Amino acid sequence: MLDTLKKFIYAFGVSGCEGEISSVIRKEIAPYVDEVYTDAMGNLIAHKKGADKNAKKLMFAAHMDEIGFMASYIDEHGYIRVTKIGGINFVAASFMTVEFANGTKGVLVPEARVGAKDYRPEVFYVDIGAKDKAEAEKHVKIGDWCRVCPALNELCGSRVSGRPIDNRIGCYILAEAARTMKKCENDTYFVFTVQEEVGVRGAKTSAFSVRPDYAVAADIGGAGDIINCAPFDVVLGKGIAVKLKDGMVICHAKMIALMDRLAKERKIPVQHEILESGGTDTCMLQQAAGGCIAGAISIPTRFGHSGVELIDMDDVEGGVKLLAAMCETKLD
Amino acid sequence: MMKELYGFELLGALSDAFSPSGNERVVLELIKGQVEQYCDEVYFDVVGNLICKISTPKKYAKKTLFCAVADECGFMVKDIDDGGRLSIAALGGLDTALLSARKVTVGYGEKTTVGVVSSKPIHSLSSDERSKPTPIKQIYIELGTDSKEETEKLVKTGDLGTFRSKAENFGDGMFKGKALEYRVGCAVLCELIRKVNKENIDRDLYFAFTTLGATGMRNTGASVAANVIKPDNSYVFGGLGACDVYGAKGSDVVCKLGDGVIVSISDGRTIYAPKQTSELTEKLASLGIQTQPNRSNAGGGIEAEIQKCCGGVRVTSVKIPVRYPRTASCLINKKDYESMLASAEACL
Repeated sequence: MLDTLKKFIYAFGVSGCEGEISSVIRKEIAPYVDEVYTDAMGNLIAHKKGADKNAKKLMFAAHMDEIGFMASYIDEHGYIRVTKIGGINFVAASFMTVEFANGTKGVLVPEARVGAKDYRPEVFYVDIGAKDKAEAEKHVKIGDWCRVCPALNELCGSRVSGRPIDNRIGCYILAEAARTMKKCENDTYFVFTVQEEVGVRGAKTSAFSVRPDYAVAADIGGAGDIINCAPFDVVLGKGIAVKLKDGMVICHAKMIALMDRLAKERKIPVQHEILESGGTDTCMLQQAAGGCIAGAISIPTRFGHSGVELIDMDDVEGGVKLLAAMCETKLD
Repeated sequence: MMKELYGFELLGALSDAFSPSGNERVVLELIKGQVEQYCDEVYFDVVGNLICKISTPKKYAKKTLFCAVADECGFMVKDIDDGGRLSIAALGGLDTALLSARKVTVGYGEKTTVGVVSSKPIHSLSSDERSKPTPIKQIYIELGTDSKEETEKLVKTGDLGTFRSKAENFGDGMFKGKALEYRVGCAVLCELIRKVNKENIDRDLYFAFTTLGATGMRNTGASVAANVIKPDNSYVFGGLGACDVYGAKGSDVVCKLGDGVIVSISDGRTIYAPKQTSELTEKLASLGIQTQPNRSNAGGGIEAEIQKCCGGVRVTSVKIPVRYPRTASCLINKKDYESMLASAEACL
């Protein structure tokens, strides 16, 4: 089952440059839905018609973009300054191999004699091994997107680690739910959104045009089982997390109750997530157009926004089952 | 009928117009007079945006929105003291340090008067005061009156103000004036409207001159315009702050005067529609129009609101470098401006 996830992980898709990941997902999901299209901002929308014409609209959203960088300046030695796209942790990104959208590889390094506590975006540059500016410009031009190289490694048991698990794992859950659902009671939209990492931009416009009655985001969450972290009641392996609130949304009580009920009926283990800060597509799903009954599932994740994001695939399976259960349940 | 203005005469007239945020009607009436006869529809919407429409005869046509911000940074009169002096509050991104000892225009609508901003002489400043700008609460404006009654004949609280400066040719191939970072976009749209040949368009063209763009991040005007018009795609014109001075190096420069128009890939608030944007860049290159990259990834303007309105809009920005933006003396290179005019035609 890691084959599909691997395809999603390895496809390039830094915010604003989601073309490759979009076409990979489109190919994967197209056989299981009635139509697939892309909107003005680049959101990929896969639509599966409901059982009858009075069916409620159910929208699932997972952002397909990932954090990364953009080339902003090339100096005379051929070193490339980059600007960050999204919430980059520079300690995690330092001394990592990076790749540009055209496949050019390089290394992201801080200037010499700058210690980790002085890491700021301005002290970093990408060395692609070019002899000088002219050679560098043959491979990279200003405005080119770049990311820390993808990885997916199987660890003990059902756990895997790599990047960008945020949020290709959410995309994987949507695609798997579309593939495995046994019937489609509601008019269901699987939406793969763009530009979440730079300010939840794609969710706003896609929810406006879909105008769902119910909306569920799938994204990574936190994990309270790493050394010296703040108290947090979600751990890896105990099930998919149903979001109660985060820094930008309070989920609808009806949605939480629905997910809890379905989980109990189908014996899917779930946990409840309360994130102190940060947010996902959920907040925009809730507010777009006239608003809707919104909630989210979070995949418990250690070390988010690093190159070694770590999850438990058993939790992921629970997420797939929960979303499939929603598809199979007539909502009113 | 209003005399039709072209080129730098038009840009100068727009630059001189008194239109701090909330008083856009002055510059918008000027624009309306210039373009009305070329449009099928011209109206002011609920938030004061001037919307001009040129329709295609084609049915069920798509809509393209051309957009430029019409207002400028300024201040508002908060209080008039017994001596007839005005205390003020900044509107939007006005750097109040720049006001000191400046000549300003104060008023509302067309009813304006000249004022002078106070400044303490340098020999009276304590060493602490010398090292930092005077806070806005200690700044006042003189109108040459010496009583509250006399001042109230000229202005009232709630009136607006901004720098008073006359646009003019400057040095070798440059142009100087206030509010140029916004008015270059307005002037280009005026010229573009006149160049549209109705026979050749297959889309409805909307031209929005938007209000409340200089007041920070809200961009109310552009947001309302885009939500009402619901365009399929959009091009935004204006100026981009150039930091090609005071020893700035590398990406800190942002953009350089004389190096041509900037079609940004992204900035701090928007990632521009990739296909539409790169197609325009390629087209400009094939037409021999000089372009330069936006070397910074900060800032952002009305594009962010337009892109996210309704179900999303494909948006591209076309800017020229403006040195000393938000001051009484914005500088642009005339060649860059002409390149932007040619770029605008390429968007049709």
